[in-house]
Amino acid sequence: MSRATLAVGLTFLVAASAHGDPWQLDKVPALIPGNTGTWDSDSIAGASIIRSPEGWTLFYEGTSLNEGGAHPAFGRAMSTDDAHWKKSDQGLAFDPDVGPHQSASGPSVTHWRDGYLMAYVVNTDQVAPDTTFDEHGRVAPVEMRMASSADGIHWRDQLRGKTPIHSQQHFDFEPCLYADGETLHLWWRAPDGEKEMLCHSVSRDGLAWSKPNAQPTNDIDPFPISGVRVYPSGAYYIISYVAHDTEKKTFQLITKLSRDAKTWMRKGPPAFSLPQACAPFLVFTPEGARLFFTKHQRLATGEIASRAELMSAFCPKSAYEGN
Amino acid sequence: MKGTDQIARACTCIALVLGSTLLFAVAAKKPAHPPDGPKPGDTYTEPNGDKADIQCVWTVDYISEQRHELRGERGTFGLLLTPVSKDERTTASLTIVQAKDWKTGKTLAFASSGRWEYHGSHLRYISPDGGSATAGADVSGHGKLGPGHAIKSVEINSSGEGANATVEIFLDIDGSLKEFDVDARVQDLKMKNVMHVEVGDKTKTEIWRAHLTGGFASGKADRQQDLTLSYSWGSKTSDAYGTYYGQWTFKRMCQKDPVVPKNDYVPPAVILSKQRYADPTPTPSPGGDSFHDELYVLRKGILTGGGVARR
Repeated sequence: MSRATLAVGLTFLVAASAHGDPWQLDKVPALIPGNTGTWDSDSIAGASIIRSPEGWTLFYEGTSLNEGGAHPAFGRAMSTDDAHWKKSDQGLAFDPDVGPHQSASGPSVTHWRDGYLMAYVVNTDQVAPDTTFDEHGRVAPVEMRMASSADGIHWRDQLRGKTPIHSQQHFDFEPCLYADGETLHLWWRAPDGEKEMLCHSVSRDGLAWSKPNAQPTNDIDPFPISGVRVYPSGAYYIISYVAHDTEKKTFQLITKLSRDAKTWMRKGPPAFSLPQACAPFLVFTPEGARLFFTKHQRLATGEIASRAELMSAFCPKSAYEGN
Repeated sequence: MKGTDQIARACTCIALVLGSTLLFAVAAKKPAHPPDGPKPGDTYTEPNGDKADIQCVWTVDYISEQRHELRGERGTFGLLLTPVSKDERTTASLTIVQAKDWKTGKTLAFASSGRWEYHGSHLRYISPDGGSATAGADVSGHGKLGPGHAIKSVEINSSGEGANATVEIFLDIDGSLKEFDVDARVQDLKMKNVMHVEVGDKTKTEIWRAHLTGGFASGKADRQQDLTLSYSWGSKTSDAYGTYYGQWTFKRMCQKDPVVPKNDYVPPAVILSKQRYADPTPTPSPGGDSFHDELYVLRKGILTGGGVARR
C-alpha cells in the first residue's frame, strides 16, 4: 500500500448530497475525537440526545486505543441550539466496569422521574485466548446493562433487575430506551433463527421488563435493517433505521410513522445516504429534523477504520410536512 | 559450647556465601545493559558512510485478528466444497529509527529490525446446518521483518510548533510476498454421500498467509516528546464493519535536549569559586546544648594547646 493510496484511502467517505436533496450536511462535525492521549482520542460514536434545562445534552461513546485495543467509555456534550456542541469540561461521564476482553457500547439515555437512566451493551471480544464454541457457535456473551444518575453527570450501574437483552452468542444489539410518562420503553433488534425481529418491552420501575413484543424486521423493510431508534410522538411512534442494500452496498436512513407500532408508514424526512452502518439519532424540532451519525475513516484496502467523528445534517420541516 | 559456636559461625558464613552467590546469579540473569539496538543519541552510519544522529526510536507493534466462519453448502448428493473455518492472528513488532543527517540536516527514517508471527486456531469445518467438526491442530509461522523483508518505505513528517506540533508516520509493507506464507496441515473431509461435515483419516496441506498491511498514525506532539500513536480498523466485538480487527501502535522515544532552567543565571565566577556549593555555616543554638558545648571545649583545648578542662 503506497503512501499516496493510503492518504487517498484515509480521506473521509463523504455522504454525497444530490442536487435538490433537502438534507443539508453540516460542514463542521458535531463532535471530533479528543487530542492524543485523551479518553476519546480515537473515535466518537453512538449519540443519544435528550432535552435538558440548559438546552440539549448529548451522550456519546468515545474510544481511545491502547496496546490492548480499543477502550470505549461514555462522554457528555451540551448545546443550546442542537447544532453547536461542546464537550463537558468534566471529561469522561461514565466508564463502565467490564471484564477482560469486554467493552461497553451503544449508550441510550432518557430522563425519567427525577433522574436519568442509561441502557448500554457489554460485548465480549470474539477472538480471545479463551474463545470457545457450543452447539450454537462461537461463545461471546453479550448483555444489556442499566445505569442511573441523579444529575446526568455522575453514573453508576443499576445492579438489580434483569434486562431482557442477553445472549451467549454475539449480536450487535443496539438498545433504544425512552420514557413516556412513568413508563420506560425499550426497543431492540434481535435474532430469531434465520430471521431478525424488532423487540419492544416496557417497564414501570426500570427493573422488571415485560415479555417483549416482536415483529419481523422484514415486515418493516425488505432490506436488512440496523441502528433502529423509536421516538414517542404524541399518539404516534416514529421509527428510524438504517436499511442496507447489500447489492448496491448503500446504507440509507429511513424514517417511518406508526399509530400501533406494527404498521409502519413511510413518513417524515426523506431518506439520507449514510457512509456506513451506524446507529443514527434524530432530533425533531419545530424547524425540522437534525440527524447525528458516525462517519468512520476508510482504508484504501476497504477496511473501515475505528477512527470516527460525529457528523450532523439538517432537514427543514417544510421538506416533509404533509407528505 | 565453643565447638557449637564455631559450627554455627561456619554455617552462617556458608549461608552468606550461598546467598550472595544466589543473589549474584539472579542479578546476572537480568540484563545488565539496555537491550541492543539503536538508541536515541547514538550515531548512525549510513550505507554511503555519512553520519546521522539518532533522534528518536519508534517501537512498532501490529496485530491483526480475523474470524473466518464459512459454512459448507449442500448439493443433491451430499456436501459441496466446505472450506476450513479458523481464527487467524498475525502479530508483528518492528523498530523504526528516526535520524538527522549531519551534512544535510534532513530527517531519515528506516526500519531497523523486526519479526512477525502467525497463529491459526479453532480449525473446523462448519456444516450447512451449523454443526462443526475439528479440522486439525493449530497452525503457526514466523519470520523476519525489516530492510529486505517486505518493508517498502517508512516516512515520518513533523510540522508545526508548540501546541500545534503534529507528527505523522507512514509504514508501507508488501503483505503479498511469499515470505509470509505459512504451511498448514488440516484433516480432509469425507465428501462422498455425506450430508454433514465428517472428518476423514487423511490430511492435506495448504498454504496460508499471514495478514500484514501497511500502517499510518498521526497525532499532536512536540518534536522530542515521547508519545504513543495508534490506528485501528474493524472491531473485536461488532460485526458491523466485518469480521476482523487490526491495529498499529507506534511508540516514540526521543533524545532529549539538556534542560536549561530559565531565569536561573549563575555567574561563572561563583561556580568556579565553589562558593555556590559551600556548606552553609551552622547557626549556633541560642541556649547552647551539650554537643555544641563539647565541641567548643575541644576546639578551645586544641587552640590553647591543652587548655583547661572543664569541670
